[in-house]
Amino acid sequence: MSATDTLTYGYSFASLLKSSASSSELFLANYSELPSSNLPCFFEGSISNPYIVSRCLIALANVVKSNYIITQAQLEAMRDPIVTVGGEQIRFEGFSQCAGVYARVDVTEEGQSEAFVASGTTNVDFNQEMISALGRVGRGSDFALHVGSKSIEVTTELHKVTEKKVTLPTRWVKSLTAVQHYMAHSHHHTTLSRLQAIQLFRSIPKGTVKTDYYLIHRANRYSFSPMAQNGALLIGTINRLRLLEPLLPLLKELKVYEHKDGLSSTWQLYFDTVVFSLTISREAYRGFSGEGTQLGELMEEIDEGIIERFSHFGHANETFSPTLLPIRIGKEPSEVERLTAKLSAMGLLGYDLDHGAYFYRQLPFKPSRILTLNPRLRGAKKLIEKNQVKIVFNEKGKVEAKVAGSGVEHLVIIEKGEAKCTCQWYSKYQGSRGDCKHVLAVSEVVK
Amino acid sequence: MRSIDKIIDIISKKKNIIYSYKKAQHELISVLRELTSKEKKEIKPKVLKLMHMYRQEYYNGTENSNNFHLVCAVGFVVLSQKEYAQYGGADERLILPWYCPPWYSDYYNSEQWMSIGYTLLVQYISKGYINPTGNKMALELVNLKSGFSDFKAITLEEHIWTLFKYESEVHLTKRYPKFGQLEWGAKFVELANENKISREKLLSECLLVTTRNFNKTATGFFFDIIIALEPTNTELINLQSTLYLVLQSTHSKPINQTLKYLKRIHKEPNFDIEGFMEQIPLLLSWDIKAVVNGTLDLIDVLIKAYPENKEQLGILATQSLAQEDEALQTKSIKLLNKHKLLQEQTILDEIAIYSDGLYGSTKALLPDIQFTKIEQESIEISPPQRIREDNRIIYPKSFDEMVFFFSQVFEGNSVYDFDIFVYLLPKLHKQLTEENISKLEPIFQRALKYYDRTAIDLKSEIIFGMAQAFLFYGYTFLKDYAKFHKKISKYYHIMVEGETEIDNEMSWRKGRLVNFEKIENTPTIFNIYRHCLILMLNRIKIDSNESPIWIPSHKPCWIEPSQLIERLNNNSKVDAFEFQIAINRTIFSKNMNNTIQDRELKAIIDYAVHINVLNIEEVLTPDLWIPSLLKKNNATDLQLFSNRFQKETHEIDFSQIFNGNITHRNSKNTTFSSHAVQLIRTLNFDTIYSYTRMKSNYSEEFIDLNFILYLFPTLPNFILEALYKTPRVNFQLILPSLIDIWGEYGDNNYLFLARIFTDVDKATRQFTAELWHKATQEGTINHQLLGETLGRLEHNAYAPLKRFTDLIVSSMLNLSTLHNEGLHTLLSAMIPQMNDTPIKGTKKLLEIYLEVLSLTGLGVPDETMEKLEVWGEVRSLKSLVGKLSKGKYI
Repeated sequence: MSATDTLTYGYSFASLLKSSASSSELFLANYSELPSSNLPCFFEGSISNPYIVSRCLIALANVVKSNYIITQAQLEAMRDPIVTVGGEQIRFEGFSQCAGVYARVDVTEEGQSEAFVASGTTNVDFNQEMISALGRVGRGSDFALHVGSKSIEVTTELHKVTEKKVTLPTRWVKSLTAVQHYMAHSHHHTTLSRLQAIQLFRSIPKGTVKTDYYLIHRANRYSFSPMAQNGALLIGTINRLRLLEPLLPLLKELKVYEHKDGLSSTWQLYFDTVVFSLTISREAYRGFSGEGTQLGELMEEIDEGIIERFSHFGHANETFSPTLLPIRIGKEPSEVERLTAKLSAMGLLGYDLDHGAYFYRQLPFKPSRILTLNPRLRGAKKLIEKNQVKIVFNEKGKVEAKVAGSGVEHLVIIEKGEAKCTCQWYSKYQGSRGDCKHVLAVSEVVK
Repeated sequence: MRSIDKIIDIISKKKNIIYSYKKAQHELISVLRELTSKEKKEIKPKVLKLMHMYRQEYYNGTENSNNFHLVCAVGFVVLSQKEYAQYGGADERLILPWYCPPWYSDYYNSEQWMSIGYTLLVQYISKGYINPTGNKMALELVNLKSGFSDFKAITLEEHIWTLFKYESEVHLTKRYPKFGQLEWGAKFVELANENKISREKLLSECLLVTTRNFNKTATGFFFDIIIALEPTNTELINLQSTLYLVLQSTHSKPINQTLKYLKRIHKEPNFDIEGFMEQIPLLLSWDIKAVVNGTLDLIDVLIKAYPENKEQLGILATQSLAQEDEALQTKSIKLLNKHKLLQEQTILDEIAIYSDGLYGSTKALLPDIQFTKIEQESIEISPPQRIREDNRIIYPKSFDEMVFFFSQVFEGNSVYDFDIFVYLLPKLHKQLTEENISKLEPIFQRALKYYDRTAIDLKSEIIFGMAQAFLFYGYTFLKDYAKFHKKISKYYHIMVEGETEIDNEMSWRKGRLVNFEKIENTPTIFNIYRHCLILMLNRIKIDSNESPIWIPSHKPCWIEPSQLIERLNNNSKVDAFEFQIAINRTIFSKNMNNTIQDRELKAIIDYAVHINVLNIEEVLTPDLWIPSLLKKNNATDLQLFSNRFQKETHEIDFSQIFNGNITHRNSKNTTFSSHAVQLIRTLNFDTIYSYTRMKSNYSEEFIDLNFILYLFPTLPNFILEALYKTPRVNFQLILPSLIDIWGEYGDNNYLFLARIFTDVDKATRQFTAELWHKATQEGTINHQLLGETLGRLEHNAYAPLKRFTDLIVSSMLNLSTLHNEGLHTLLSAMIPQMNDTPIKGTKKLLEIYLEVLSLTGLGVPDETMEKLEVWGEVRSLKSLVGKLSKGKYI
């Protein structure tokens, strides 16, 4: 697959909000590249907090429309969000075009009257008309949500078989497979009230900001500051948080989570039965797709049978239990970390910060799109295949190797769990974005 | 004759001027029409080559465009979309009637700026050649000429509405008539007035534009149409739900206008007050004052008109108390008071939520509410600790560690990598063997890559210098390893060739870098680095064991005094530049043990640390004394020194120079008279302080900017002044480092600080507030001096005072008792220095001063009061000055 690939969303109708004086009905058209997930209807039921849900969906649409590094000329049509339905929850997910901002709207069990028709994950059509109309949904009206539609009549009434061709960059899909890894390594940092959140967001500077920003607590109030201090949370490129501004006056509580190495931060906004979460990468130009912190775990092949068996156990939104999994698939618990990384990289898992657990959802894209996503892994395998890794020394926990590079031989040393290489990738990122292909290859050879 | 030969024949015949272009087109089309699928596939590679060749010739001016267009016509017929899109250029009109490539519609839609004209587009749509996207349709419509009048049914029913759905440059058509283009704003109004389009739909679509993320100007353009249409109350009532959508816009202009419309219709029978109340929280959280003001005004009239919603509206109105603006807080309280809502406990409970952020003046308007007093954070002054265990720099020791250090040194990972580079390369050289030398090859490759990577002006000069020095080192000093030397010499030669080529093209930089060991006389910063690099290469050459004395022992740039003494005692010779950097970087303490063996060097350190009077007879090597002299900044000593070592043409009387005088001509031409600067200018020898000239564009070079600052960490004023005068310096990149190293600096650094307090960039100003916060905590800022300098700068309104007052409100006010007292000193010192005629923004400054008095319980100093009395003569400030003189709210 090339760096970008055309995806044609084949929706059977265009998503639409039908409104009357006292009620609204939102019909979301669905589409999956996977035939098994391309069902006519996933959900039909009523939503108890329509005003909030509609505002959150507008905010999600703003995220998927946004970009912080791509020029206007590079902007293509919006990439539609995906929705996972099942396990008595509905989750909408999407990425900014630059893949550095991830947003999710979780409608909890209490937030809807259960009417799940099927469980699964699908793309949903987010067209501009529907998004604009969502703004009309008020607090008092009844609100019905349809993800897909069982009724042929409705589908016909909503007219237009609609096809949207978009250039789907690899990084967009790759980010969907990577972001949960960041969330899983995040911990709670701060909880703010509505007023604190509003005051905090007022300190976001206008104009171009070229330096990192931090969330600090000073003189009994929270603010964003360009200088770190003890206990500060590193945010990175701050202007992306403006995407949350329209929701702030409505929230009950805001929880902030920080990644253990400061590589991302997650901002969860709570509204009774709805949670809106926004995860931003460390820097705008560093989307979630380019990171490779879990490449080591992915290097080793996992038996396809295990994956196959796993996909039979998983139902959309069902909590993924690392404790039960080894028993179910007959593997050692020690392999779970690696297995989890592999499964999430294959687009089979999402992560819920509130519950501190992965949940099952299979991305609605062809496996061929997902499996070719890690060029460093491919490069490492190629080096091994071509016999271009020479182990010079392997004793007492220290490995020294020479690995072929472009026109030169690179020195790789692995000692006390720390790997170093003379290649440009390692030199530039010093291991902060995962191992280079040379280190991956050496690790594999000496395993 | 084969098809491709026929095609080449036609194209090349065109070179004969008698053979006309039209005839060639005609003949070519005949050939193209006959091509089979197989032939198209066969000739594809040749066609691509021809297209490339003719385009090159066309660009080079060796061929006119006709041949290129002819071959593009062939491409249009035989190539795929991706291949054709690289060139474009065919006249499709001749081909489409008999052949339309299956990709043509996609191609048209994907070429952002491709325009075929609206009339032709309509024809193509009807013939099925193109199915345009909304974006493309809007683009074609925007390009219509002013005389266009052929508005067909499909144009009016479908096409023109794309302008409302897809962002285009339609808003610019307001300025277009003079270029002969259609002005769409007026045209829409005209079409509605002539009933050619629905007025209701036009109004609704103009409003809906605000929900489509259009830019500010485009959104404003559509709102101007609404204003021109003068909607009636009935129309506005019918559009209510859409008007509420506008209130969720990200632009303030449509919101303000909508609030006016809502005010107009709020008494209409079908006014949806519930719908509006849902929007209030969002409106009152805006950071644009006009939106909040407009919303409060509307709430005011709604309370009157809908008494049953009075309390609910009052509760909503209290949300404006989250605003940091004193006027808005006051307005909100007055509104509640006007409607007797301050008597309601529910309202008072709501207000109490915001008590922490309320101004004293706002609280004074409230009835007797007992606010929970939030204790100020107690902060004590704690001076900065530069030399600690946790910031000690660990220098690589083993050969492999060195290899990994050098392999990353060109990536700019750390600002002190240059220092380590200079220290480490001679050490690496000593450990080289036949066996391990091959490990260095990736480093040479990386050095060349850096050299080759980007345009010279965008590179870091420091990394560039290291890359060149490394290549030079390999070529010059590794000849003993013949096989390896042969390999890496190629890298060096590529660099030399490149440099020679650039030198030939740009005479101004001739010999700048390639002749590594030759220093130019130009006093640029780069020559300080190069001086250090050359000393390093000399150490390798003579196989010296000595280390440079100026390398830091602690991050980011500090030298522990004991280490400096050790190096000075170990080194046989001291270089003046290296010594000057070292003294700048060393953290001396009064009780340090000065065991330097060299008599003069010992005297220099003693003078820097605790001797009060300069003994000029001890000065044998004047250039070594400069940093200590500047740190002391004693006018008598400077005079003494200057008299002995000044250039013949310069005579200077230090007693006649008022230290700290500001001469202000314009924003970039403000000078600060300083003893230190005067001394450097008059000396008859070079110091690093003269080497402050920079390249023209330092906007992005984080490493360079910070390293420059770290050369002078205890005397940064020279470099700060130079940076300020260099165009396009991004202060955001340097301020974190300045904040980190800020110490008890002399008065000549305060001009820079005062300037960036009022810098145009808000993020830069925020950094300045951070500097002030940290320096206040560490006791390293002179609030009095900063206030005086700011006052003198603002005497003639150097920059809008609002920048400074906004910064105080957002980031400096009420941080701790210590900070509030510092702010009191600052403002008390600033006011007397300002003009007798108050400049714009003075009122806000005085409101803040009043708040500071209230927070600190301190009074107004006499000198400040004198200026306030002068300002009190101005009507708008009279009441405020009255309150200030009494030091309390009335």
